[in-house]
Amino acid sequence: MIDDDDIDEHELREAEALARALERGSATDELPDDALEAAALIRYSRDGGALAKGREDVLLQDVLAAADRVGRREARRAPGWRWLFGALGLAAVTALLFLIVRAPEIPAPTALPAPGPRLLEIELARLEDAEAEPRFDSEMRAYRGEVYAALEARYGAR
Amino acid sequence: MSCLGRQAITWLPRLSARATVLALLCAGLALGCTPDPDGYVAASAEDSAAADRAIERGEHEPAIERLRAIVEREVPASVAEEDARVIRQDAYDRWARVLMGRGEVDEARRVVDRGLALGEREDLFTANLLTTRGRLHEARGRDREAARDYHRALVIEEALLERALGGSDE
Repeated sequence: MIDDDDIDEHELREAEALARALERGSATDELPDDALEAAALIRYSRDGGALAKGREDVLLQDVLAAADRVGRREARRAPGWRWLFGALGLAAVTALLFLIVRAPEIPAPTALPAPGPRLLEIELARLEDAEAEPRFDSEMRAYRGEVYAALEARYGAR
Repeated sequence: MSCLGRQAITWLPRLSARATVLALLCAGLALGCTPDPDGYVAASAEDSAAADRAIERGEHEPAIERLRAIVEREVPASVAEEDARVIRQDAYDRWARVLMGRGEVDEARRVVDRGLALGEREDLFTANLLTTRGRLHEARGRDREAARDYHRALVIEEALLERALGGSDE
């Protein structure tokens, strides 16, 4: 015979879990698989697995109570910070959509300096005489500098 | 409160909170991707000056590299399309002339066409590209096409000269 002192805490918990399983037909985590199988066999051999009317009522109450708890949890209000953050989010999305949908402004071209008569005369000369190319390059470089200066005055320089 | 109402109370703030995160991410992304207009013009000016120096020294590859950088640089939305065209057409013309100087006529022609595809205006940059294309036609023996391009360049230049001399504003 086993002395009560020889039973440790763990075994005691398992025994209690087994007793609950036999009595209620449901198992907890403490119950090992082999004990669960044994409990199921014992219950099945006793009544073929059918629930007594009294047990059905108790279980139904348990299920309804659990459903009520879940329902209350779902209905719980969101914290205030989440509402605030959400409102900010909607505002930000609205602002972004506004920026995206709004027709972009087409920037006007810069008033660039007109080429001087000297450059234009050389430009005309090079149509007939390829020898004018070096002079054109030099004049064009100066004009290019003026054009970039005007653009940098508008858009900014490095 | 109806079941739907209770669900809305729970999910609406969550949904909005997620929308906030998404909106902030999008805004950050948009700001990060927008090219800087100051940077565009300044970088193009720097490349242009460097290309001119390289051309003067006869260093074709570094010149082409700089000119290619100008035409391939993304144009910010805040830069006027016409300003970007001027910058790019000027670079295309110099690029094509460098190639022509190396005897790469067909490649030069492709570069000129890309420049003219940006639009033809009554300004020096369009006139330069037309003149360069005329030279390229000449190099290929297509005199009629060359004459046509020279004529179009001439019309633009005469109009510019007339304006420069105070003859007309139009």
